[in-house]
Amino acid sequence: MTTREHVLVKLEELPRFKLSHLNTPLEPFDRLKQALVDQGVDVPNRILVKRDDVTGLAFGGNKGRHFEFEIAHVLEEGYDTVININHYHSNQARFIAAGCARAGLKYHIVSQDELDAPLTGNLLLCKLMGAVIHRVPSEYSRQVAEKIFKDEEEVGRKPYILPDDPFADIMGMIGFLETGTELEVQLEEAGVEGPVRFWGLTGRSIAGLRLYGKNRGLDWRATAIQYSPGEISDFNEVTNNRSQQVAEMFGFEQSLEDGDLQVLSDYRGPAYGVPDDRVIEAIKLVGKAEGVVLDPNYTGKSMSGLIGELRAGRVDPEETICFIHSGGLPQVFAHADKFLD
Amino acid sequence: MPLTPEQLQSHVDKVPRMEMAHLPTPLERMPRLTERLGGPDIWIKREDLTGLAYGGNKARHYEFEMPHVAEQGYDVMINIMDYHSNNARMTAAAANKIGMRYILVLKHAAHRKVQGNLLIDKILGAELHLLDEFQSGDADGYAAKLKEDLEAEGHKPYLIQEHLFPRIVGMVGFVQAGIELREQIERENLKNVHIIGVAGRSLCGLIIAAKAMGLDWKFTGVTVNYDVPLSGYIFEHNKDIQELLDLPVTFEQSDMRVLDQYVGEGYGVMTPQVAEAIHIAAQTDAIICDPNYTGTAMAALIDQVEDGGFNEDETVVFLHTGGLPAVFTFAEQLAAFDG
Repeated sequence: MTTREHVLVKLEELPRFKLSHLNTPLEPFDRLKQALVDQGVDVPNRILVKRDDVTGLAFGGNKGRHFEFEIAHVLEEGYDTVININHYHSNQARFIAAGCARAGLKYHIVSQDELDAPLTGNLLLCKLMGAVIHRVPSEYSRQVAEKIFKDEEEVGRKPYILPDDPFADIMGMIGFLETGTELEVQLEEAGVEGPVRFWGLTGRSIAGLRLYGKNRGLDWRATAIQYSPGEISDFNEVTNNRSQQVAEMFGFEQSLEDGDLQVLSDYRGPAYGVPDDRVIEAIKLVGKAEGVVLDPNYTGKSMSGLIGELRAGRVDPEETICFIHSGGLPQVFAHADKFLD
Repeated sequence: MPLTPEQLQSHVDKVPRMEMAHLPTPLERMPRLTERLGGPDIWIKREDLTGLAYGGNKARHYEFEMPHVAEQGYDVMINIMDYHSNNARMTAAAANKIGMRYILVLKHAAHRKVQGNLLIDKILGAELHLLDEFQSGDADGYAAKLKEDLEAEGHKPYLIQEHLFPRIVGMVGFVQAGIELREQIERENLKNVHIIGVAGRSLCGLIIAAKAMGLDWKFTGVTVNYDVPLSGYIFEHNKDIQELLDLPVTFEQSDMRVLDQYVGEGYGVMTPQVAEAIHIAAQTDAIICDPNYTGTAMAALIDQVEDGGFNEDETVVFLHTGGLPAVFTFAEQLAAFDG
């Protein structure tokens, strides 16, 4: 078993470029719990929320953590230009824009698909923060990124294609090892006893938390809601592989295996970036009960999963639920039409 | 005799309070903006990070306003605001946090695109009355009628605009912020502090805190478009706040240098100078300002630095009061701006 201090020491060894305001708060979702009780839903004793929407970098979000390592890595390697490929709705694209602005790096975002969608939400913020935006269909995005790479090299710059970097694949998990160190203390301070179930999305964040808990010997469980198409087995394979790399880096005895994360595919809606009615209902319920805003692409889907599973009686009542609010707040404004009633 | 921070705190503590905001908000450097402008050191007080539904300075106000309303047994709040209002949104979030019913009468709101603050008002479940241009002329009458109807049903409604407390509570929140800021400024060892922000109650609260604690901070307040005249809106309440907190001092109009040359042509029209300022702050330190309030204050900061409006040995502290949802109300104009 590893110690919390060991993880903190290993994190300290990594180069880091400060971007975020940490720690983020852990708060009760008591009024949401009551709202569900009022609907006749059996709820566990406690529902908590980890407010990673308030990391403070350009509208906040969980990725404010990861990119402290990523930007430091880019600077250390001597790159001066970052080329990124991501979707219209991408929060990641915005975080990199913010990190590049702070670090004085040039930034190209190849934004794929939804070519007619207005320049708002994350992409508008990218524009404000000085990103050069290239909007292309996804089948051309690779080609365009390589062309930008070549053009930048020709004018003497040192460009870097972010999705090609293996480090970019694991840093999200690393960022959430640190969240684990935060949460371990916060949960204890909140007097939480017994099993804790973290509730989030299929991705590196929840995997990082689970990996931390597993190696600390904590009774931490995790549910990951899918938000886009894809086979659960593929997600598990990729996650397990990444967790092995991180485990090696951190000297952990255990990595993740199938079953460590409960993955649910019933709440992803018709497509990535498209919320169904349950998501809108979940966002409104949380907004009304707690004054907390969720987004339609990610956290709204995660919450619709939590509400759905509670209603179906599939959550162990002994568990404390810790909902991960990973941010995504700018994209609410790209979905205004979903809230007109 | 200046008060110690502890003594000033004891004055603030006389007012009942509940937790609404993530405090303290950070005070951080803006190294790249400082470098780009080549003038005095620029810092930023991040009131956009109070954590209440997109953040903003007003989260501090509700820490005092909500207990005040709830303790008197009111069971529904009515607020009259313009459709773009940050106050309207944040009051909705604060009301939800204590389970208070909230009715929002929004002027000039009928037929508006649902975006920005108005979108968040909807998501937070505010009971919306969107007034058209004719109704907006008598919004007070409209709200008074709502209040009467609620009373007839046996409710006890609190029509915010009928009360004095909400007009001074913002200053109380910022006396508290002043105590917080003093500690941060001492820790960072900042000298010759000059605070610039939107001319409003928040700045006035900071002035009171500074005067009460005998600090040498200077203040510049930037007038923003569509705001009502400062004298009737804020300065006339300097005795009310002094009385409420039982303080030896209060603010005077002369404590603040007021800049009114950055006011645009009115609401919905963002000046190119403001659009440019928003881009500059975003491109240097990834700080997002809004087109109505903080963008105007940022435009003033940039212009004043370039124009020698600050001394080189001053430390400029920009008060970021939030207002972030409004960025998306102006998405088209910001997207079209070449910056």
